[in-house]
Parts: sequence; C-alpha cells; structure tokens
Amino acid sequence: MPDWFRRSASPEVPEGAFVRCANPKCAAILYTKDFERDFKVCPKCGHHHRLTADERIALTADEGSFVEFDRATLRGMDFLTFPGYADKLRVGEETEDPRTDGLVTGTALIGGNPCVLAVSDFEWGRLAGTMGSVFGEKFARAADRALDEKSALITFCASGGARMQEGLTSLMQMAKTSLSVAQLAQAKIPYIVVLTHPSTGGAVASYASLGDVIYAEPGATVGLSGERVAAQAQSVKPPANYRTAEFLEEHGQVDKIIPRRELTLTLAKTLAFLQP
Amino acid sequence: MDDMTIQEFEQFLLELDNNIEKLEQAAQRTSNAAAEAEVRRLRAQRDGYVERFFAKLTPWDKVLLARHPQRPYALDYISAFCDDFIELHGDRLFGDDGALVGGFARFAGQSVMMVGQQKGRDLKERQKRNFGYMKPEGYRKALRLMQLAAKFQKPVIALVDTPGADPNVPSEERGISEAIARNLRELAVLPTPTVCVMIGEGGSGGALGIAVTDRVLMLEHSFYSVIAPEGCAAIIARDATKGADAARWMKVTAQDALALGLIDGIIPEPLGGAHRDPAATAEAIRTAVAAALAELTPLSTDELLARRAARLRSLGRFETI
Repeated sequence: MPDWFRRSASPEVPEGAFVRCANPKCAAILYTKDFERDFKVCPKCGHHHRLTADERIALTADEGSFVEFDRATLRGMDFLTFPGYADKLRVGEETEDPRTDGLVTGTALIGGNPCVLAVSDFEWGRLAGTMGSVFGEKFARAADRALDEKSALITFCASGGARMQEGLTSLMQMAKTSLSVAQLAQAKIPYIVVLTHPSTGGAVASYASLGDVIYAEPGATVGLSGERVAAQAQSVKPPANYRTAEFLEEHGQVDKIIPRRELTLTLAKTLAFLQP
Repeated sequence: MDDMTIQEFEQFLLELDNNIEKLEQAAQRTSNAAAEAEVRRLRAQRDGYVERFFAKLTPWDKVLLARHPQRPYALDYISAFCDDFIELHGDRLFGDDGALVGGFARFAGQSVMMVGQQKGRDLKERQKRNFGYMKPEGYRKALRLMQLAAKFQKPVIALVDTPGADPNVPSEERGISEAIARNLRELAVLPTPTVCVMIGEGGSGGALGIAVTDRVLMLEHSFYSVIAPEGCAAIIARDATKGADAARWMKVTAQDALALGLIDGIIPEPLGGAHRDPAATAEAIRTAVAAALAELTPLSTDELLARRAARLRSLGRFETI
C-alpha cells in the first residue's frame, strides 16, 4: 500500500478538545475549535488535513445550496470475487455512509454561481477514493447534469487511482470519465479541477488532469506513480518536493496552488469569470 | 509435464526441437525412411505436448508469454503486414520517444497511420526503447500522428505492448499524467476509424493512452491489466512475488477481458505462442484488423463517434437500486 495511506490517516483525536497535527514534522497540539475554524489547516505549519466529502461541500457550497443526486442509487459489485473486496463494499455500505462509493455528486451554488460538484470521498470503504464502476458512472452523470443545466462542473480529487479490485473494468473508468470531459469541452461547459491530497494514479492520468482550470491545495501529493514505485524506479534522486502540488506548479502542470481558506472565493470568481 | 511452469516447458520444448532437428538431418543424409517416419512421429508427439500444455495455461503463464523475450514486437508486425512504412518522429515539443513508433503505411490496400509501442531485443535497443515504458513525449507523438491521420481521413491502427508508463522524475516533470489524460480525451472523439491490438503487455494507463479505439482486439496470449500483477500483489498481499495470484484475482487474460465485455475479439496465436511462428501471427492480425476496418470505414463520422461514445459510456458494472 502506498505510504501516503499511512502518513495521511486522519489526525489522531484524543477524545475531546485537542487534536494533534498529522504532519509528523509538526505534530503540534491544537485546540479543536481553532482547528475546525481554520478548515482543518494547522495554524503552526499550514498542513492541510484531509476533509470528508461532507466537510468539503460545507466549506465550498453556499449554505443550504447543495442538492445531492444519485445518492445511494448505484451499488458497486464484487464481480471478480476479488479477495477482500466484498467486505470493503459492505463496510462502506453498513458502517459508513452508504451513498458515496468514493464520489459525492450534486448541484450547488458557489458565491451565487450555479455549478455541479463531484467530490471524492477518500475514506469510503477504506478504498482510497479509487475509481470503480460506480465512481465512473457517477462522474459521467455529473457531467451530463452540467451539460443539461449548462453550468460548470467542479471536481475535488482525492484518489488513489483506478480500483484494482474491479480489474480492467476500473481502468476503463479512465476512458469513460475522459469522454465526459471531452463532451463538456465540445459544449463549452467549464470544467474545473481541484487537486487535493492525495491525487495519484489513474485519476491524474485521466479526468483530474483535464480541467480548463486546475487548482491544487498546498502540500497535496500529486503524481502518476505510487510512492514506492516511484522510489524504486528512480535513476536520479528525486527533488524534495517530488510528487507534490508545488512540484507540479513549478513544472507548469497546475494553474495555481490555493490555500484552503481562499479556495471557495477563488472558485466563485473563476465561475463568474467563465460563465457567459 | 503437467506441473511445469511455462519457462520449464519452453526449455523442454527447445531440447525436443533440437533433437528432432538432429534426427531429421541424419535421416536426410542417409535417406533412411524409417528415421524419417520417426521424425514425423516425434513431431506429432511434440505438437501433442504443446497442445496439452497450452490447453491449461494459467493467467500467469500468459503474463510470462506476453513478456517472452522472443515475442514479436510492433516493428516486426509492421514490417510483416505493411508496405511503404514511413516512420515519423518526434512530438514537436520536446523529443522523440523510442518506446513509441509510428508513421504512414499501406495496409490491406489502404493508407493508414500505424502507431506501436516498441520494446528492444538487445541491451542497447532496450535502452533506446526504454524497455517499452513510454514517456510524455511518446504519448504526445502518438496523439500528433493520430490527429494527423484524422485530418486526412486515414484510419489508425495501434499496437499495444508496454509494461506501463515511464515513472521517472523527468517524465513527471514533463507531465506524464497530463499526456495520458489528454490522449484519453482526444481519442474518445478522434474523427477517424481506430483499431488497437494488444500484442503483448497491456500495462495499465500506459497502454490505455493509445488504446481508446473503436475496436479493441487482443492476441490470444496477451494480457491487459489495471496494474502490473506484481504491483497488485505488493499492495494486497504485501509480496511482489505473488504476481501469479494477482493475475488470477484481477482476471488479466484476453479471454477474461472478452468475457467481461471489455474487448471485441481475440486473435488466435499459432500453437506454442506468437514467437513460434511470427509470420502466421502477423497474418492473423492483418486479417482481423482488415475485417475491423472494413466494418468501420463505411460509417459516417457522426455515426462512428456516436458508437464510440456509447461504448465508452457503457463501461462499468454496478447495480442500480
């Protein structure tokens, strides 16, 4: 399992008023109220802790504007009888929110601008926001909705890539989501990507690298290959910021790195700019 | 014989072939009819062994066959079934990727654009081809050539054979993810008939980057996988040597892909695999691809793209509640 799985587990919560920053180099003890008020960004080191899909939506959409669609209408299948997959799907359905399978979709307003949101749910089923059949279908339907309503599609990516438990079918979700992006482009519907921690593998090799605009959160891991693969394969020593949003910005692969507190306003401005 | 791995079986087969050849030479020298009959008997017996072994190949045997060092590569096939191949180089942006070859060719009586992922035979060529791992400039070259083909209404034939996209720092610097993603988006709407054939390894997004086509065909002993079996084993079983298990879990063979409805057809290989008779394999590919193009070329561009979009949109298995 890639190392970011372990490193980026949600911050330890010692029951109560304090949390510890998940950045091992910081590990500051933070007052929970401050931590929540700062959108789970550590005030000491600036580490952006991962948000759940619901937290992301609450932070992004105008209050009360989010209307989810395809909530619990699609269910993943263990059609390869892959070891452990049926259990993960069941865990996802029974003990967590049954609706997501890695992606939450709905319509929303951001600063009064209408849009369709497709937000990765990294934790669901402990499947790392991976792209299985349900993910691909929900993304495609979100794009369809954006086409129907002629409003922008915004996606927040936090994904380990294709879901190997669905084998080759999951690889095909890369093609399926990319087709949807092509259809948005042909209809001149804005498509905005926000890369959050972590955005890797098949996700960045498909829909998450195709935004008209690509924003990223500070410090997010972004790259094609998993960390271990990357480490093994190197013939030259990677730079310290290798496979981060900052590395990609330096090499012209993302438009702008935006701290979480400024993200919603930037998205609102971007939507206002792009809408006819 | 039944519990041999494919490597052990191939070794056994090699010795058998050598012995038959020696006997045959001796028989011809002495014009010994009895010896000639013995040669025929041994040949038939050998073919029986091969048939029996190949009837029960495991997914892992197929992975190893697809990676077989003697397996024909893209340029072998291109030179076998294309005339007037003019190789075109470079992405016009950064460089020329040796792991991706392409150019104009005459194929089954028509002008086509060939693109293919190319591995090397010896150390020097393997380095030149980067062991088949494509870099961003390779995907950009492929897209440039395929869009060139579309501009002049020529069909595209893609031969897929890669362990995966190049994971090194320079490739990440130059946007390997973006290069693959752009190809997926553009191939989904490329206005010309497209056919791809998995001739060896179909390694993940690295393969898909040239394989979003109207028809997807696979050679009988090629494989196509979301992640290298060893990579999957390293993650799930925490043991990269369990690739054989992972190949079974993920159902990576051509037969699996067809049963899952993800590809359109399987091209049979000669007995013992493509490397035992490259010419016959090339002919089988030529026939299958020509038939696919004959179905696709009469379609209007709108019809072609509508069918391609419908196919891509339908990929996936889930329950609707």
